[in-house]
Amino acid sequence: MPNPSTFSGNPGSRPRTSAVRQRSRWVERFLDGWSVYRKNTIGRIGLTLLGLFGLMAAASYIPQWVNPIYHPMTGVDPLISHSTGPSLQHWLGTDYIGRDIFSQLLAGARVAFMVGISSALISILFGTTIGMVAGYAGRRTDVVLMRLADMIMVMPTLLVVLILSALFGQLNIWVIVVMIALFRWPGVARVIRSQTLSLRHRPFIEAARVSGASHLRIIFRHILPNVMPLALLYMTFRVTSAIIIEAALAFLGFGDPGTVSWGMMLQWVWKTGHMFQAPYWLLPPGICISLITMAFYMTGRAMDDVLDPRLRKEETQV
Amino acid sequence: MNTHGSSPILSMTDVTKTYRSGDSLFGTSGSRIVALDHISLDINAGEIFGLVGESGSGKTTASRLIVGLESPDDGRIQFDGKDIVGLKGRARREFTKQVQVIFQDPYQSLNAHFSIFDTVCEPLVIHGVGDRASRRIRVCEALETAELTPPEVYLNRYPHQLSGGQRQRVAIARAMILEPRFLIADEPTSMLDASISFQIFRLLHRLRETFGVTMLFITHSLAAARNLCDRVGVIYRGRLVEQGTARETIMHPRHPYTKALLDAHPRFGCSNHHGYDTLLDVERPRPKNDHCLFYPRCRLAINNTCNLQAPKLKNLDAAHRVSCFLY
Amino acid sequence: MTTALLEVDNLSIGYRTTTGINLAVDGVSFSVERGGSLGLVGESGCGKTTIGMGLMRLLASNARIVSGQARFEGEDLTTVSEERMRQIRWRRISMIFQAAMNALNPVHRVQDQIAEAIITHEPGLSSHAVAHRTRSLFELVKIPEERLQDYPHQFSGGMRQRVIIAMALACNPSLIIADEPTTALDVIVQNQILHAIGTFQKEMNIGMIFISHDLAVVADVCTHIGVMHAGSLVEYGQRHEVLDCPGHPYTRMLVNSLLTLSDEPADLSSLICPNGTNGPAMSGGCPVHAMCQNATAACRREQADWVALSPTHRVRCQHAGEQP
Repeated sequence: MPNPSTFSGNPGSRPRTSAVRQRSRWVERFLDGWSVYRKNTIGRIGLTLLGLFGLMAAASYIPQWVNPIYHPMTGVDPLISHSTGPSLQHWLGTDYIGRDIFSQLLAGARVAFMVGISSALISILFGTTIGMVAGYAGRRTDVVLMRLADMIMVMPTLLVVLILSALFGQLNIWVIVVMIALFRWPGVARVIRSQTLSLRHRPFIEAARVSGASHLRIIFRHILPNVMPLALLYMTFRVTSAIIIEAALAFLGFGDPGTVSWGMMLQWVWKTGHMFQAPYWLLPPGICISLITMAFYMTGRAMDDVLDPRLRKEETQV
Repeated sequence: MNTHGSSPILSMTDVTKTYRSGDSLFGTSGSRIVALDHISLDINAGEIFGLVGESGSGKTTASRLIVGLESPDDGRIQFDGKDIVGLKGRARREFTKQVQVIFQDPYQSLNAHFSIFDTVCEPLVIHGVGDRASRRIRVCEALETAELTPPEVYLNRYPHQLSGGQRQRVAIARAMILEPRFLIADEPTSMLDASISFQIFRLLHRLRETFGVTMLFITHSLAAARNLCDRVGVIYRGRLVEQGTARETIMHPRHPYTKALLDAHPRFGCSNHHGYDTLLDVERPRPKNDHCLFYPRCRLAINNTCNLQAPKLKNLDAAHRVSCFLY
Repeated sequence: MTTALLEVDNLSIGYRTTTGINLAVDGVSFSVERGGSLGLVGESGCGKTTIGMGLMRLLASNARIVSGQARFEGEDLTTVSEERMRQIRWRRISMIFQAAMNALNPVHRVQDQIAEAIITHEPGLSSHAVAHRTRSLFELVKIPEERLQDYPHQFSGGMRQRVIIAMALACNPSLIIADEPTTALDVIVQNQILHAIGTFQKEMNIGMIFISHDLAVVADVCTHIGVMHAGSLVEYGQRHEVLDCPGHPYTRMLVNSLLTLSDEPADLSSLICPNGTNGPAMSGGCPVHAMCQNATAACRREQADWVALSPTHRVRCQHAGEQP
């Protein structure tokens, strides 16, 4: 009788003889994935950094609750009305009208997550669906969709958004989020499409067709799990590019003036001429932007290992 | 041609399939490859029919046409007396319950992201059979039928944790779970070791005994066909060249190509190869006109007959057919 | 008495993994004569390919030869310097890899690829000599001269394999290691290739190690057969000895699962059931005990010593010599 322990492979799974409930299977899968993710150094660093930023974002509600002078937008310290360096009351100092920089940094973290993740989510949802449909349907549908993607891809995102904001005035942050998403989906779609193309003729897809599966089922049940690692990986890239684009927009003065983002902070530094005089004001947002994009990238890389069972570090086959 | 007195369960009549290679975008149509050329064969209910041929002979194309992955350019395919070419919608779903396939590559025919339970359960889900509890029971039964015991151990595993032979058994379980009436096994063991393939053959035999399922067994190995099949058809470059009972066709082959296949079979004990009786060492140039496809390689070819027209399948006796001018 | 061309003595090769060293090859010994051929048979994962790669010192970076010797023409392949190994490779020992026909560079003409193989290993030759040898190699493997200028994709699978064989013969080696050279080929082509290999092996007096999972193929071609399972050699002897009277239950199983064209359908009943996976050697005990009907406690405890059934035939089984 075969002894299950002679099978090479996943050390985390145990044979189960009790009934399999749907929910516990997901929990089991998550724990399996976590045990793999944990071993990846880059993933751990990335996740730690993200955790830090997450804490920052969550903590962004605290300063103004402690004392209204710490509100990032409206908090004005009655004693200070210009840019000052770090001090006990203001851990990173104040900006040009006396607002606390540290609380602005925390608020910026919140905005970064919000902008980054929602924009990335939208462009991934869009891009993956279009990519899968184009790759699976082939022929005319494929051609039409890909020409559309090409047209959008060659448009310079930043420039177009700048022009639109110049035309329509200052834009709301959510409009910016959607616009970024709408310009960034073609990259995902192309990659997902080529992945789908290579999967389309694989025997397991044909086996599903022979079993009578409908096209929709094949796309969402069979192809999607196989392209998901790629989609999620690209999502982390979209997050990074969304954050950077939003920061650039804000820096250039086209952001949402009611939102405190790191880019907005940089814009204020620059606009008020404090670029070289106030490092305590200039450096934190810049460093944060770099670190958060790096953190997302690292997390994405590590997730690659988890999502594809075959990429895991197995015992070497002879 | 049937020997059972009832109509065959699957019948292909004059089926032709051509592939065009070369980019049609540039206007010029590339070279045409004829994968199947007016193939006609009948398979009777409850028998195991072997289709033997080398790679590129068209045998896999035949199976793809039967299950509807592709459509023939010409000819008819009938299952249980009903046309199955171009089936759509509900009729196609009904058809997929009755006809299933075991693919050649066990490493690719299972979705790596599906657990074994998901894979084997899928046909039940697609056709809306049963509820969660009864599905689990059926999946376990199917795994047991495929000799994967105890089945519970395998339910939560993933394909990469199983060996090739086990994966192929999972594929068999998936194919058999709806108890189809017709099973196509497309070179199911060519990627497996000898001892495992032996067991798979034994399993297929047992499936036929237990379920009465008719099988089309596609292979390049004459020995496998000899051991497993009741009747055998030999296919060469898209044409059926010989057909008969497994025993008769393989022990006493008529067509020169079948004889060549037999000569090529490894025969240990005599290391000095005695050469081919029917195969030329150097191929003749291919005639431009219609000709017997085996002519360029055939040592026994009759000049001015074999290179001027293609032979037709002729009945030698009640059970045997050959397509050769020598008969 | 001529010494053997290659003598492998207690060779062990292991892979480094996160949990230590796994032995892929465990204490394997055999020898190959000049002009003789050894067939290494075993199912996938038994370590036969690793032996071939180990002899050529082409192991993966996380694998190493743990112990043992491989004496070839007076040198020990396991300890020679990398520089010397480079000189030996292809000139004295060459290899035909698995699925080799996909190893041809699609953008170079076949003639150039063979010439490159020659020039790389014998840089002193003039271009005239190289061209001459290329032509004679093609003649040897029976590829028509007008095909010299073609690209790989214009060849069929069988012809590409002949090109690979020509490349392996390019520098007149004394030993060829052929790893599943005919696996992806059709029966007729396979037979022709095997015949071709056998012919020039004898003509050029080359020793050969033929690695395959297919006992039928090996049985057709080789003078000696070694049966491997889970990294260990379990039986070794001349061809007729191993095939006619297999001493090891595993060999018996392999022989029984050979499908024959005989009048009687194969006896499908007597097979023992190997449902486990093959893989690196498991500690302790006979590698086959899990699937052997006659396994006793002694079999599980330790691997048997070699039992000589004849001067040239040895088996590693506790019950060797007993009637099944």
